[in-house]
Amino acid sequence: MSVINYANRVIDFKIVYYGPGLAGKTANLQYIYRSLPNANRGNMISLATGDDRTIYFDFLPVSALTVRGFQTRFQLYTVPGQVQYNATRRLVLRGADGLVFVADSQFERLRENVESFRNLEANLHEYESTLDEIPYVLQYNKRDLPNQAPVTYLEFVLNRRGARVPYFEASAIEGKGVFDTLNTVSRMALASEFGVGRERRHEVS
Amino acid sequence: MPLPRAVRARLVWALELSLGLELYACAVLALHARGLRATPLEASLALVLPALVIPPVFYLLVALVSIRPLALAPMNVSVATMCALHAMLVLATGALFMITDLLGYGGAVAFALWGSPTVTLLQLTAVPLVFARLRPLVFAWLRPLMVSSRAPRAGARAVATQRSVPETLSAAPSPAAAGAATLPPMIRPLAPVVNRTAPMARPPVVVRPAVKPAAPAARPTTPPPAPGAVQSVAPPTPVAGQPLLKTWTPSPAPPVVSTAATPSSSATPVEPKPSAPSSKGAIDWTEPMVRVPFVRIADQLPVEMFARGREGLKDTLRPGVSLLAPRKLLLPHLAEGLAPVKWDVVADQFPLDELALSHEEIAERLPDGSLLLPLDEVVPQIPPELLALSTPPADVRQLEEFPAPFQPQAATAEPVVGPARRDAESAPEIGAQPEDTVARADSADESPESVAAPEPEVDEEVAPEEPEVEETLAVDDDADRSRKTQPEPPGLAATVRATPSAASAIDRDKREHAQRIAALLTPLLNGLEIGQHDGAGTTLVTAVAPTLSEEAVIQTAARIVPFLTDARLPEPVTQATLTAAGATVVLTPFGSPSGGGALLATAIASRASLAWLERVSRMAAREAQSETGRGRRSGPEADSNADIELRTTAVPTAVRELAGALTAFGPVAPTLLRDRTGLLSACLFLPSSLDALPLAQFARDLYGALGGAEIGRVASVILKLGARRVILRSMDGESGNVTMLVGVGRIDRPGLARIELDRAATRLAALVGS
Repeated sequence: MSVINYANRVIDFKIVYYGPGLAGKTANLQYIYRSLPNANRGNMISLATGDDRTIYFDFLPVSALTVRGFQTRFQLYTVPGQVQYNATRRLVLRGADGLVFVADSQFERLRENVESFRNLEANLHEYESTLDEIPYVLQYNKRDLPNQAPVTYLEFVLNRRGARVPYFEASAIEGKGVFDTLNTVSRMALASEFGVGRERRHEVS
Repeated sequence: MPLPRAVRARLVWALELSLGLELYACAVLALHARGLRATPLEASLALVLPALVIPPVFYLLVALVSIRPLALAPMNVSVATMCALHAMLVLATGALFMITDLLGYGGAVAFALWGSPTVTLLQLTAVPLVFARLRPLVFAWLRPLMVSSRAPRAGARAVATQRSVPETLSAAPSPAAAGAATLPPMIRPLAPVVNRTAPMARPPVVVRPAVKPAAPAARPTTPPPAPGAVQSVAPPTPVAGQPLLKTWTPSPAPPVVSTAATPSSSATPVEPKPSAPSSKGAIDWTEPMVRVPFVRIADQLPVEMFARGREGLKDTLRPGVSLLAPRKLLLPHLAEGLAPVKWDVVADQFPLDELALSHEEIAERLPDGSLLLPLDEVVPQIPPELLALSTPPADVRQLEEFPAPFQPQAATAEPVVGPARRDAESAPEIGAQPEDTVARADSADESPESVAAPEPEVDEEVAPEEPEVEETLAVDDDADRSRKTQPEPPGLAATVRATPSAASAIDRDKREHAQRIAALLTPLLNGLEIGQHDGAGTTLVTAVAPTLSEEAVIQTAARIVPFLTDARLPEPVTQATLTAAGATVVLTPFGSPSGGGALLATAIASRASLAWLERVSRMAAREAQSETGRGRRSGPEADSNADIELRTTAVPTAVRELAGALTAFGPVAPTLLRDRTGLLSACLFLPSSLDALPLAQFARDLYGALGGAEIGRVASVILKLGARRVILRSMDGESGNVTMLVGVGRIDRPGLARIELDRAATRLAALVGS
């Protein structure tokens, strides 16, 4: 749920980057951190092991546009992808306003993608929520590597729910597709907050 | 015209067999040339008995050391076959001696059998070598007979173990390495008949009728393929309508070869597992197949399953040898990111004589009894239409009403950032950057206190970030020149405009500063119109909300410009915030003093995110701000309102009590000044180190200058003086008198300070009213 500060007209959104280990979630945030103007972002907090594996989460607060009088701010989180950190993943997932599922495009990682996606659904279920209720997009990362699965197949594997959500081909380390992904999930979160049916809520307030 | 692979293999096999026999004949002839002559022999027991006993015993020993797993049936078959070969060689040798030595055939055969130990040794050597070449053929011929003989028993036992079949038939003496190296490949060379996407054509082989299954669950056996010869495809018992891999579940463990298991040497048939194989062998060779090179899955197979080990198997592999799996069995699992295929489905493609384990044992050693086919081999062979999703795309039309919230810096400010800067920007570890700093900076507005005070703690807590921007702005000339060569972003070019009359007067430094700040502000302050103006002795870069009058902002800013460097202030003003009913204006000096200075004026309609706006403005103007701080102090030192003389008066007790409530300012003492008429009062709460009178006069003049401001009545002014802040607000009394409140201090929490001053104003107004 977004946090609304009516006194200051500020809305905070929580965007969580989810996916299997080594899929490139932290790389996404690092590129965003590098690319946004300093004034538009806070410090990035990253707690990682010596081999750059996230063991808790990454956090990057960023500010964005003003929508209908509300200043919007986005808090970007990643989850640790390794299987043993599910409790942390579930914790980070709480209250997410938008999700980016970062999938590894390599053939040999497809199974991990599927398991991580199921883990995402299971963790949402713990909060009595589903992916139907939270805006999310798919990012097929590592498109620069040679052993990549075709997008058709990645869609077949990961985007087979009731409605196909937007997906993006990306190479996070090079920044390709990173902002397309972020902008789309942010707009989906904004639409979820300010879209039709939600306007009355703000007008009343 | 090249021969087909199968024909070539058959030819090579025949040539090798002929070569072995020819070598034997040559050796016999060589002995004959060296004086060995066949002579009539007496059939004494001492001669005949060894000749009849030694070869079978020798062949039994050969079978004992070479047949694995050790089993009676293959041993018997092997010994019998070798004895038969021995007999044939004896007969052929007899014919040879009959021709050369003009001896009767009976006598010549007798001589070939027991007449010469040398000839007998040649025969004992030649027979195992020849048998090595004949073994696959022998097994191919004998397997159906063996199976049919077992069928009744299998029917009685519900199923016959598959292991008994190859064990009965496989009787490979350990051949010489040369012989082993030329064995035919284990996997049938079916690759040439596979079409990647078209339905699989049945291999052009002679299909033998399947052995009648003795029981529904009995595994139909398939004769091993003769090397390059007849291939027997025995369709397993079909299970109509049942997915073969229905019970497959993903296993987290990688499909590695089990090394702990050892092959069983028992020839005892094993009872089949009840769960085993309802899915056996439903291969329809006319359906589309997926081809996977055998080398891609060889590592998943348990090493003990091969009679000659995996390496020996690989040595026999030829390029293009592939495993075939029905596409329809793989499709249901592709959605899980896997392509498993049950061993039962592909088992028939492995020649039994090369397997040391039964299929059931092999399946038990595989994870879930399945092989995992590599997806990069499988997926390209799946027609895209089978992977196409029929679900509708999500409706994203609603997103179009929202602009993209984030724009990477690369298009505008990125060139400013040099390589060293990039390194410095790497995300700090949590140890290096305390979490609460960011958390508090980010959630400053979330606390109840900050809800009422929009511009609070953020200022101080984000201070460590500001030097980064300072670096960003502190570009060298080279960077500036490189920027000039780049086309200006269209959006920025459209928003930056200059008044025509003054544009020519703006020097180059100012323009560059303005453009740079505008470039920084563009992605941050969405919706603000950025302009550039010259007047009031300074260059004014404005970022104004569309709902506000830019002209009003400019004119209001011009009123306050002279006060920013007023000498009556303890320090130069680094930022001024004017709050009116309908607008909030933040003025931030920047630019070099030599260039006349410049002012960034940002204006928004509400107080929302005021702290953010102040922070952004300071960061954008950071570079020049420090220089301004060292610059001249050219404020209106002359008392322009000298006729309004302020005099110190006694401070009432109630006002002293108010001072004690201003905790955010630190220790302050109240000072009260009034003019002669009593219409203007100034109540100051200052640290003891500051003189009250100059500040009171400054507040009086500033209040006078802002009277009738174009943005509306200014309710409060906050001046940032380095670490200090001066907060001014005025109160209009009912009788027309005006009271100014001035609070000064090293304020860590400006939002709280403003609230406390508001409360003080309320109480003071009550006191004045009473």
